[in-house]
Amino acid sequence: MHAQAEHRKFLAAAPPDAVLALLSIIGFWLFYFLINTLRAFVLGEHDQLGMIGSRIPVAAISMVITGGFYLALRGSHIANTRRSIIVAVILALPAAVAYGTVNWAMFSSISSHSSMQQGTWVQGAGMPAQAPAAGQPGQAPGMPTSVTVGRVMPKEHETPFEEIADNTANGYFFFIAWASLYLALSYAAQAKALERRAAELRAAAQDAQLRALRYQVNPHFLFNTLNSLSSLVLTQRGEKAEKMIANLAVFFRTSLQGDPTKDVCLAEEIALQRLYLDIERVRFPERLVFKIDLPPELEDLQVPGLILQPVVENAVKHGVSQTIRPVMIDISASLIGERLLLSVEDDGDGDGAPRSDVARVRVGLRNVRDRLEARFGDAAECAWGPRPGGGFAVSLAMPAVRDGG
Amino acid sequence: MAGERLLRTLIADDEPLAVERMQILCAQLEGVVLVGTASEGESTLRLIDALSPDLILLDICMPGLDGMAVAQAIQDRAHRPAVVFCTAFDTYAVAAFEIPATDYLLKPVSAERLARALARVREPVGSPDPPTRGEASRWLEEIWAPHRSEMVRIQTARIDLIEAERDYMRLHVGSRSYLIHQTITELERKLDPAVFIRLHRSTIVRRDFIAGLRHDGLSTWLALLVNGQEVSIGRSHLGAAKALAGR
Repeated sequence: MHAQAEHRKFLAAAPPDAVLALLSIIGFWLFYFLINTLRAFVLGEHDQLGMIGSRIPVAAISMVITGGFYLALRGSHIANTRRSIIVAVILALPAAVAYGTVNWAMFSSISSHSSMQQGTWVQGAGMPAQAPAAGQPGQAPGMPTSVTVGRVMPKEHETPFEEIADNTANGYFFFIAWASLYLALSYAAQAKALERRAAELRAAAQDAQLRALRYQVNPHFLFNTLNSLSSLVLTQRGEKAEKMIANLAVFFRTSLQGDPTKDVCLAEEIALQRLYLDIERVRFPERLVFKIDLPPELEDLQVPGLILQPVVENAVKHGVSQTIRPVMIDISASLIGERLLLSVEDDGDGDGAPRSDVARVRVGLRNVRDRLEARFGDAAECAWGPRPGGGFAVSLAMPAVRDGG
Repeated sequence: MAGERLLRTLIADDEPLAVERMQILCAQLEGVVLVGTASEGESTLRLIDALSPDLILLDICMPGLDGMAVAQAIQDRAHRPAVVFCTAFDTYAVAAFEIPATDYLLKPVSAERLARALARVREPVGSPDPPTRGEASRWLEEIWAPHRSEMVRIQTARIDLIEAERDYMRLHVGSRSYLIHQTITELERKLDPAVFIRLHRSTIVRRDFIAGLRHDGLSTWLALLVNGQEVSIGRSHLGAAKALAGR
């Protein structure tokens, strides 16, 4: 059971490279076979059918040898491209010798049979144990002993050793050629895999960034609101307290459960801001006034969830709560070309009187800017500053994203 | 409650509901006379001058002059009411170091907690001055730190060890520890150098909490503390540490 699972795991892990190697081996030798057959045909060599009959097993055996070459190459576990080329150059040598031997064996036997001549057995000096594939190995003068690209004229009176060496030298380049092909293909596959991995990492990083930048409930808001609520209860204004509790529940649920990487429709985002301002108006009944302008045709546009929250909170904290008179918060959405423009303005005194925690305002707004950048890149903007005529203005511009976009 | 001094109290808060809530709580406690309410800093100061209250329940976050500025401003006044800060969140605790406050309350304040604060105001009978740092000392003698859902007062002389934790400082007092939002440099500046010594980029120790120094052979020095703990000594602080040990 366990071994089987291991085996399956191995198979699952092996394919990309092994499949690539297998296909390149088959393709390579098929191509070789076709080219040689075509050449024989064009040159009008005799006994073409017989030659094809011998070329097929040679190609098949060459595939097997190349397979072995591949396994040796892969077994060497070289990650570095330059080193793997060197290893290939070295490992191609035994493969070429095997190829040369097979070629010699096949073609000399075939040609000796086809010409019905009695060949002479010559023991190769360096190849004492060569087993002939079929029949009597011998030489056929005047017949091509092997078919290789580099050799058109048949060589005569070669010893088997010379012939094998000759075939080996030719074959050597085949294996180098296949190795180059294989390395190039696997390098391309690796590059593609790396690219995919990089894209995945980029997506994960963006996700993490969006999560890190997610809106966090402002503790000041929470405790001040609880204080107001307690006051409503102590003064027995149950209905108002009940309404505020319901609003708070919706607000907290949305900000706690919302997926920071997901968009929401603008109508929803604005509705949440209305809810938030309704809660804050209980704290500042005389001082907080707000106006919202959301054209109906923009209601379905998608925006990052809670993107307006820090901006509106900023208007309350540094506009309303720092100003003795009533402050108007004006939230509006408009479409300029294919860009959605969201603007939040207040006419409070906040920015006119710099305070110790002005830096904190900037932190909240910078967070909005970072979120927009993480979501839209350079296509979004977030700008803020004193509003002409007093107060503070923040504007967000981002691509208009329709539903599902 | 016979013998209990009546506390003439002023409430300052910019949120009407918060003022109402405090009014109700005060009405439930004995010995408190509410003399007025204010909703921003300037009017708070005016009312303090006009009404001479014994106590001011002071919201920190207010438009115009905030609570801290109000408390600062009354330091120079001939008549100084006791100050009890009320705030929704403790980010202001650091600023409260400098300003002597009798108590530091977190909203929503419970009636029981408010009663304790009033008891504290009454403690130094006969003097409206809150218990503050010694006259001559320019060094910080107490620190307000959040503990559970309250602000507690810590006598700086009781702090054994201070360690930096990112933006916060951890104050070790015996077996307890408190986190405050403050930089180590700021804190070092406010602590009496005769009592405390900086040993490292991120460590301040009370001098008499050091039991000895130890050289660990790798050109680094450690300070052995009274509780058996060891803290490493930064290169630039080594001279001062050795002077302390008399070497």
